[in-house]
Amino acid sequence: MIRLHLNVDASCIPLFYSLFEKGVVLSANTGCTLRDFLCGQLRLSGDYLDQRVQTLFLDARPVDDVDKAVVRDGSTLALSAAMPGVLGATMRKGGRYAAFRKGISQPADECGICETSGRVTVKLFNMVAKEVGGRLLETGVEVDGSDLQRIADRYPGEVSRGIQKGRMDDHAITPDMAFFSTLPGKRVLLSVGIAG
Amino acid sequence: MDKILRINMSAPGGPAVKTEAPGNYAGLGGRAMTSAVVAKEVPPTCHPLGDANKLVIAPGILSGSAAAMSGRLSIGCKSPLTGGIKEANSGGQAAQVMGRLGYAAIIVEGKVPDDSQYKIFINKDGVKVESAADLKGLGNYATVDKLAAQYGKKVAFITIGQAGEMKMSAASIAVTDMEQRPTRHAGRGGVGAVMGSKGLKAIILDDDGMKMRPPADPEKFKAANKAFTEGLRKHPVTGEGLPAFGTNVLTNVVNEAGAYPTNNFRKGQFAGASNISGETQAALENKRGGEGSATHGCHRGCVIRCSGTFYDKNGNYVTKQPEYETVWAHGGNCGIDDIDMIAQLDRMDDDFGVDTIEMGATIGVAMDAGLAKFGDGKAAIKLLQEVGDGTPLGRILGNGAAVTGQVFGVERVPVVKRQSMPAYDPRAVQGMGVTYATTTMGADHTAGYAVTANLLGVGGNVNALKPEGQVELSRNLQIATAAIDSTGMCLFIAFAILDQPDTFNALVDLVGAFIGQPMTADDVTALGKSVLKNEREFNLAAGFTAKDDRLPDYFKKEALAPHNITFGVKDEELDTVFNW
Repeated sequence: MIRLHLNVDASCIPLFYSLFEKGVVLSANTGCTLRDFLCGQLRLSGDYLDQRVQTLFLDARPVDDVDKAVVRDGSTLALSAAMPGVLGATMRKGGRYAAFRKGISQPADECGICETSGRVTVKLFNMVAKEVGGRLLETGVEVDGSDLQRIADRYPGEVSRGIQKGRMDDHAITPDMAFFSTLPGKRVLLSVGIAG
Repeated sequence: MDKILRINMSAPGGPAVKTEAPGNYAGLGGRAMTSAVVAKEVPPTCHPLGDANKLVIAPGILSGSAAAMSGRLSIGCKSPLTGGIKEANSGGQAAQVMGRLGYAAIIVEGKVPDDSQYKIFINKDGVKVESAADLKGLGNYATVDKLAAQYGKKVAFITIGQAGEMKMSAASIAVTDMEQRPTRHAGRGGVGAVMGSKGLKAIILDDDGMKMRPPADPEKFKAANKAFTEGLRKHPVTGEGLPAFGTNVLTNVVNEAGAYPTNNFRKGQFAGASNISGETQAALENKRGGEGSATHGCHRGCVIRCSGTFYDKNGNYVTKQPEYETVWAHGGNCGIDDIDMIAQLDRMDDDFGVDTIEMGATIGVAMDAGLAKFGDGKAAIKLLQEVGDGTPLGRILGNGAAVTGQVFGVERVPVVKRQSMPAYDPRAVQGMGVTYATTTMGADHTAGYAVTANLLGVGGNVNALKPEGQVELSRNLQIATAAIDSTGMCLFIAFAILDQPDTFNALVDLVGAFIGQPMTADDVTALGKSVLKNEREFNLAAGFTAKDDRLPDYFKKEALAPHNITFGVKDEELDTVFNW
């Protein structure tokens, strides 16, 4: 895996939010509850988790109780704000329409101890990506190089104007289109900072 | 709205118009009006394209007033797609204009004796019926362009495209938006075919010189409308998610849940979902820019503004921002993850005048039959073009998924009462499956869309986690939805009034101040039940039985990945939905 750090204009940060739709991988302490993982490791506030994050999925199963669902090595976690319509209501954490999807709901789990290290895929959707994504990009996330190339292909003008400089494995690089075209097939530990 | 306009297309010497008092229909709006008229006046066993069927167009009870979000237009008839009663509703400008003109309903009766076509012009001075021979064979966009040249840019149009003229069962009726584009559709059930069968191509609504409908209690109404609007703006769904990303914000969430029907309902997750999500779509629209790109209302008075405008990479207008259901139907359901192609398909749907859900599902079935490969966007465009051209293949496709599956021998046809299912797999979201199976409309998500049921007290509160909760919840949702469909309110108000008691109270006050008498939960329940009762009785008389309230067998046999789950609600439970 290569380590890539990019310094970008603040206006460029949203370009990277699409990475969270497919999911980024984080090294984490596992065997803990969702609340412990999100508040203790991703540093979401309790209020933010309870009020803003209305829809959570753990391994594609809607979660009703963040204190009873356990994050394990290899888990995939997805976070969303409240969504519209009856489907949005149905998927809501502990919502009154949870019966509509009881066949796929995340069952309560026995909580382990936060001592196991593992890898967790985190997806962030809609407003949650905007509000939490920047912080995760700062600290570093593991992504597919092909997804970075896709961003560059989709927004060539923004990438060339907005990415000021970069370092790959401690060497300075020129983050242009040619550079992004070399990334497919590689795993990348990406961190993104705002150029000062 | 103190009058009803009847147009008899069969009258000797050409269509005849008659304006009358609402009589027994007084006080009804939207779906309550359309279903009451169809239930009372249309013989349930008539041919949907025959002269005995009627096309009923009704604004909601608040349409034409200053009430926010009150611009839905209901269109009802006996459906050529399902053979049962139909109410399809649409945004756009027409409901507000019709309300200001004072019409509680337009009822189109009979049918022309030959292949002539007409247009109807309605303004403050009255109604004129004129030949529309010059519009024959035109799509909705060309029709509207031609009409706009004659009637100006300030009027609203209700039109059909080629699919309606060809009386296809997937044909929709287009309603123009604020930019006078035919982008809003009463899509479901083939209402466009009924309009076409009457020989009616267009209705032109001109409210020049008319005022907004006044509320009974102006001060109370103004205060309630302000509180209601503020409530919508402060809620994260109606004030943030929908304006920023549109309804397509659901793609990622539904896909993550494993409930996103993919490749004609073969699996519940689509690998290309992030390429066509609301987030991706909005980012692309913002990048390309243009007026009303990612956030736009579909009619005046909309404060949520969940719509948008889709431009191509060169900045040329293509279509309105495709909705979640459209992006799913033409996207994941057909394995297509190219948002530009999906927008092109949406444009063609709107122009030919076909329901995007029905056409996407139909193309999915056609792909299953081997007419094209899943993921082949160009082939999907070609198939849809056949519909517009009216080729023999296009005539099959334009009559929907059930006909297409039958013609090509496909078992996996996702329909109930011959109407295609929308974008939620009923195996993963089984409560939605209860609604699909039992609604009077054929598979329809909006039949159980209002999430306000418990708050309104419709049917009493239920324990959502007990096993039978799905049936009770579906019943309550269907009752509440029928009531809200009658107000002309957009169903997206539901979240804000569910979460915010002050916004709910503002809505109740708004309706009460407008009609001049307080509204209670009992009133809402009674209204919703009366609508459903009319509809159920019509369907029973048309020949529907409990066997029609079922999902196709394969939903009980084929497990859906990733959860490997089948539809498990028993038939006996489905049969209790309408026990109240």
